[in-house]
Amino acid sequence: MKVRADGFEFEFPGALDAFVFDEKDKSQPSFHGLSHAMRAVDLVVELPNDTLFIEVKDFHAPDDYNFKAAANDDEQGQRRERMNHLRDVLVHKFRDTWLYRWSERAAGTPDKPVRYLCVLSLDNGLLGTVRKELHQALPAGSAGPRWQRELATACVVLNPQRWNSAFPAWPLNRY
Amino acid sequence: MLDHIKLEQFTAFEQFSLKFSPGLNVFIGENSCGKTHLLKLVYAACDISTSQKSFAEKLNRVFLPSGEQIGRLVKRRGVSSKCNVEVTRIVQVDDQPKRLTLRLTFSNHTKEAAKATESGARKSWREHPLTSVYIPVKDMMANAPGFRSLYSLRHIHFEEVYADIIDRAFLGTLKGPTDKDRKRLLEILQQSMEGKVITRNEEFFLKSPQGELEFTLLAEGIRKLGLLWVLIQNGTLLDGSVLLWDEPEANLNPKLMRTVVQILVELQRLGVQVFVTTHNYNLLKEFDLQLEAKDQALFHSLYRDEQRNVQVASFTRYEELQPNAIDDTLGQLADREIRQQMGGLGQ
Repeated sequence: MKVRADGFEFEFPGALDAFVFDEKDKSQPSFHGLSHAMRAVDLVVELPNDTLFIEVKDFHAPDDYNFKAAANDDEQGQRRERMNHLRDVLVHKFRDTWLYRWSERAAGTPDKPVRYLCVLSLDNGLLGTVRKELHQALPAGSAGPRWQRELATACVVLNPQRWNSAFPAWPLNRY
Repeated sequence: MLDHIKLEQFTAFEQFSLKFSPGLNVFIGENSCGKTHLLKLVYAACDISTSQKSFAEKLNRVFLPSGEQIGRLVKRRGVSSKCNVEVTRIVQVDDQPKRLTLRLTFSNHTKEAAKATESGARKSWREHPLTSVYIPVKDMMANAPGFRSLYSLRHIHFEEVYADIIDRAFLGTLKGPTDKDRKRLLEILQQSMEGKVITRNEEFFLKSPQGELEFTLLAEGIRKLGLLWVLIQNGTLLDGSVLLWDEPEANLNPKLMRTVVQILVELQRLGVQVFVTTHNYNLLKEFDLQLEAKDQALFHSLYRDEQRNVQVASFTRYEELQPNAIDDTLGQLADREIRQQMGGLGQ
């Protein structure tokens, strides 16, 4: 099953469904219809036993987010702010998408673990830093002391090269 | 200024040639690709222009092959082989640039350095002294007391770069007031070190408002900044000199990398030709972030081709650097983390 977002074409053989979640076209069955109220990730993929939320961001200046390697304190502050903003946007999109999917699911449908995949055009050296921030902010895993279930089972931050290297079964190409 | 180098059958190199940037040269590559060998070779060629030593003798002292048999620097092939080394630099003669090439030839059977054949612009090479500094990976500042005299009196098994760097650090201060560029660099270093370096009886101390701390009590990273401070203060690193630094990141807190890179970029702007090897992403990224369009920099990636021969690819911008051993390693780490998080999906 193929699906496109932000200049990339993803392929998920064996997926039950893969669609643009933020669909603006009213004639499409996956029309979102709540974009005035809720934010949305780019793609949702339903696998037999798992759900993937996918967000794609192609930056022109990835170093704008590299707060750890800023040349001075002012720059570090600006980059930290951009990084916080990016993290907050990614978190907001995830949570709203999660709620939307929960609301549209028929009562009694069994839960599937949700994994959040953010495809960002960042250096390999930055991916781990952003993942750590995002993991804590979502929060992913069994985060709360009283939690009995997970909001997100995992989150990963990867660039297109890493996607193709880590997921040989899910080819990614620019179109 | 060093212009280029050509090597045949020298240590790790089969056939190798490389053009240098007149400013900053950053070398990356996996272990055993010959980064340190390149730096040592360039250093030996620079050093003999001031010390007037034989090129072969200096190479031997810097590389220290077993039994000081220079033939052991020929690439091992299991058959008789000859090695050729060619270093070219540009000097100013009557305000005109002139190329000088120095060559050295020897075989794997050559035992003594004196039997190696030096040719090319041998005389002119030594008539145009080129000040150079080689900073080895291991710190020597804290071990300075007594080391120089021991090294000159006894035949101890230490690569000569260690004795040389102490000699450079002990050079007296330049006469006259410190010019404003040097003053600015010294101040940047003083801010990071929170003090200045003083010497007493062959011993280095960091003098700060809290008192004087001997170098043996200082963090290795601060010792490195201290060494840079001394070399700038005593005028070793001036316009037209060459700085060769093997892995500046060793024992350096990532926070100090910004200062180190700032100094290296500034030195390049002041006319010092800089050669640096690194395995460190943060250091490379600092160069990428601090270099401006006006700067003269080349990133050299050393790698082994399918025949296992060392090759080089040079780029003016970090993001074009390919192959990038440091980035590849970070990528592989990221892959492992992604696979771990994904629980086997997508395979």
